[in-house]
Amino acid sequence: MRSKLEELRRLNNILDEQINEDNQPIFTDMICYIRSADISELNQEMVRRDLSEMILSAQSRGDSIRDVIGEDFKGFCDEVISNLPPKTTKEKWIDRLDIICFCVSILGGINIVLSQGFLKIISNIISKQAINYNIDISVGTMISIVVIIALSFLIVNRITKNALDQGGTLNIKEKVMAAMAVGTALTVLIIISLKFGRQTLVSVNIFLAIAVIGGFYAAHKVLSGIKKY
Amino acid sequence: MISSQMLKGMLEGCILKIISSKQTYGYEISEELKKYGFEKISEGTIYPILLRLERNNAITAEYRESPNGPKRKYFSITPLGRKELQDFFLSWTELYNAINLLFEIGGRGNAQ
Repeated sequence: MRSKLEELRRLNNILDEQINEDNQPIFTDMICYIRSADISELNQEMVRRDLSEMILSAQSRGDSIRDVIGEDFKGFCDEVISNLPPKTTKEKWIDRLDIICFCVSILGGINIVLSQGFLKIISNIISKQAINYNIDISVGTMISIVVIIALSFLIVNRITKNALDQGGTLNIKEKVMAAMAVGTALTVLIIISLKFGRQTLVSVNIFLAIAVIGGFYAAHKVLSGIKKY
Repeated sequence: MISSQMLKGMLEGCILKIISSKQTYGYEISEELKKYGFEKISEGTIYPILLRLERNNAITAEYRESPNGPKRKYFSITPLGRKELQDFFLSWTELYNAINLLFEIGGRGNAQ
């Protein structure tokens, strides 16, 4: 059975498709901005539904999104957000943990499939040779997972928070700072990968590794279930 | 034209008044306000206020079929909302009387 949140999300996806090309870009930016707000996912979807219906009604009258909202989209969204209950500290942590568990399960899964050990196990199974079920997890792999998750958090946060800023999202100084930050992070990642990339941190049984990754995915599922408050 | 600053505090009471007389939805509220001389009150202005009223349990909302387009969110006033409306009107009457008195006397003497 679908939860209230999933049902609302499904309905909103149907409504979104009916929003015309003129209204769609601003509507998308507004929803993107609301996603960065400190409000529950259920409230985000409820606002999304209300906005979709407002815009669709306007469309049927021959009006545009600007006739309904005005010109200050950011001001409108801020006003909406301020009138909804903020997430509690517990909800914020559940959110973060959920994203981390999901990312770790996906990145971990990819790393297992692409690891030398896994490929060797497959080739030994095919050639019917003795199988060593251990795979090596390198320092580089662990560091790259952490850096990718951290960078993803930063980039998504930056994009959603600036979705409604007029005339370019960043000034020159901010652009330079952002480029330097990303550049430094990537350089550090490359240096660490080259230096420690092949250094084995731990050697584990592949089934244990799969179980741990499965555990992270299960934790993500449980946390997502809790989030449907 | 009523200034937006002046409107801000009063709009909540005016919207409650409209909802108190019948179940209604955002666009209809903005049209109704227009009839009484409130110009340029779009659904976008009303929506955050409706959210606040709903959050404070002054109104309740339900989605109902609309003859054209998607379902509409209809609002009804609650007993708490009626009490808030009463309080708003009392405050407004006091303010109205005070401003009228000030403008009648016009700083010519003392109001006692």
